[in-house]
Amino acid sequence: MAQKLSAEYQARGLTGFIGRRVARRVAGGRGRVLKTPRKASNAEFALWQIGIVVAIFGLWEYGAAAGWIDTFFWSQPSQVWSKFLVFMQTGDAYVDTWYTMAATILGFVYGTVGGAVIGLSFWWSRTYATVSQPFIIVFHAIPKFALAPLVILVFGLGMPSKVAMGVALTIVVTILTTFTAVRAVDQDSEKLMYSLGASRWQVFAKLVVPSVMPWIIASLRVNIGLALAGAIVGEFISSQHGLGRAILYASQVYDIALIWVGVIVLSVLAVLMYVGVAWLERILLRGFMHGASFQ
Amino acid sequence: MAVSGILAFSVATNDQKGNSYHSLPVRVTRAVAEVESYRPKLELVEVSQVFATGTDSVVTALQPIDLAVPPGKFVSIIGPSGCGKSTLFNIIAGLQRPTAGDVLLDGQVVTRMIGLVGYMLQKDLLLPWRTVLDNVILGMELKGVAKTTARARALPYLKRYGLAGFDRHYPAALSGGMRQRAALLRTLLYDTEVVLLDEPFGALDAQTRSMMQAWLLQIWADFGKTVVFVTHDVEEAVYLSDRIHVMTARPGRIKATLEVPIGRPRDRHVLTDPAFLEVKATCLELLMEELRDEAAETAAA
Repeated sequence: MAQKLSAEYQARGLTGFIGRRVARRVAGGRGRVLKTPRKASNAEFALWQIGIVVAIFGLWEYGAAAGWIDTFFWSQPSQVWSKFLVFMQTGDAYVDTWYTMAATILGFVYGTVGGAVIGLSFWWSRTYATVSQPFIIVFHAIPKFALAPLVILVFGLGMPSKVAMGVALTIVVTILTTFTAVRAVDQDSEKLMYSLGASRWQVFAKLVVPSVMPWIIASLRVNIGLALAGAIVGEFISSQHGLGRAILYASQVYDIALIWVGVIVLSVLAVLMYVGVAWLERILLRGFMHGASFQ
Repeated sequence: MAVSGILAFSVATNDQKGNSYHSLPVRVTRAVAEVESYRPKLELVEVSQVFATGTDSVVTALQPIDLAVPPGKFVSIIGPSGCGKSTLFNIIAGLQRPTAGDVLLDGQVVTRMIGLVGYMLQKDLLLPWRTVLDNVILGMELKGVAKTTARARALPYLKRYGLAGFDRHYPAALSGGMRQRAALLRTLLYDTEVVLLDEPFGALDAQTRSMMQAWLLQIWADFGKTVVFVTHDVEEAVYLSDRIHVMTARPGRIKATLEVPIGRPRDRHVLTDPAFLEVKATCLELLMEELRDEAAETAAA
């Protein structure tokens, strides 16, 4: 029917902008033509995004040259770039970047694994879980950065204190996520396992751990960011290496361009680690979910 | 006293077997089951359940229930919702301690013992991270059978019972009917002689449901298990069962027991058989009575 109609309209020349108007009138003004947002292509998005970046840096550079941006506080892209080249040529760049990355990854791994293990342990005893609950909430509420000076005193100036900060930030979140997941384990499935004569250990290993896995995996992305923040704060307080220390040093000698270099290298590192974790997450989820939806 | 009553009861019902047995692989052979059929496979002796709802208020979920299920029989329990059918199953499966009374399996007290009867719920409860085959072998695996052995043992059953080619699929890729098949096979391959089915087809559409009923009768005839089946659907109960127990509304107790005088194997034609219709009508009448009483009580309160 519709096809016949449109063929008829075509025969009457009712196509194109004017034609459609006429056709609408022909339809008696009932109904409206469906209008949905136009779908832009990926290339178009990329063009916009690149354009915005170029505009920001262009304005910054131009503003600094024209004098309405104070380069003492804000520096300028060309200065930052030359500082970047210097930074990369000195040996410190790699040491600092590596140091921060290693501290982050260690904090991430210990925090996530430790949090998952503690969270899972709550499944075994309701008394233990209930007694522990307020302590965890309190520790969760403490701003962990406030503990940084103490952490440095206890763990020293080296890597362990940076790792400890990363753990402090990640472990509580992971415990809480895992505990929520443990409580969400399907009661009927548990019942089924027991009806099949399962021991508690079997229910734990074959039901609880696999059910909780997707939740832990989902917390990885948040944790890598938190571990990085922990490492940087540790380096701010006191450190001999690391990007955090480099940024702190630059600010103490008023080398604004170097601050920007530190921030940019740090951002690139953060993005790379995030992408790496996102990739890991995809691999792990595929191994656990098999097309089932996340609870 | 109660036990002897049950024994007399089961002897009386022993004579009315009109079953034709299939000669397919049977774990518990029919021959053995028949020799021992003077003794009920599963018995409930004055099992009752009371829940404390507050400091001094209690809810009686089950009034003392006596029940005897002869070996190899298909027995259904029907009743209004909330009559305690699921509580009863939890008690039989050993997942819940009854306030009083005992569960007997082959004459031995098994109250509060798990792993002795197969149990299947309305939800298929297949584990999404396991393949269909690995889900089906779960019971064997929990018993300590090596995975490879269990898989080899289960695979022919998947092939024979409508899951051929799906063994490596994950549950998410299966239809509701297929998932229930896998769930039932998991229960059956667990190798218990008694199987409890709690509304296994409750969530399926009518067409799939009637297919699954025929499939269940087939598989029941093959395996020779004793089945206790809970359903809301009177027609389903009559079609599948040898005997039907009708329960009252809460507090639940067995209100009436009906024999289904229809031979086997059964096909869909029995649905119009006068004997079938008579049993169905009686069941419905008994259930309606309960609903009327409940409505009257609600109105009074």
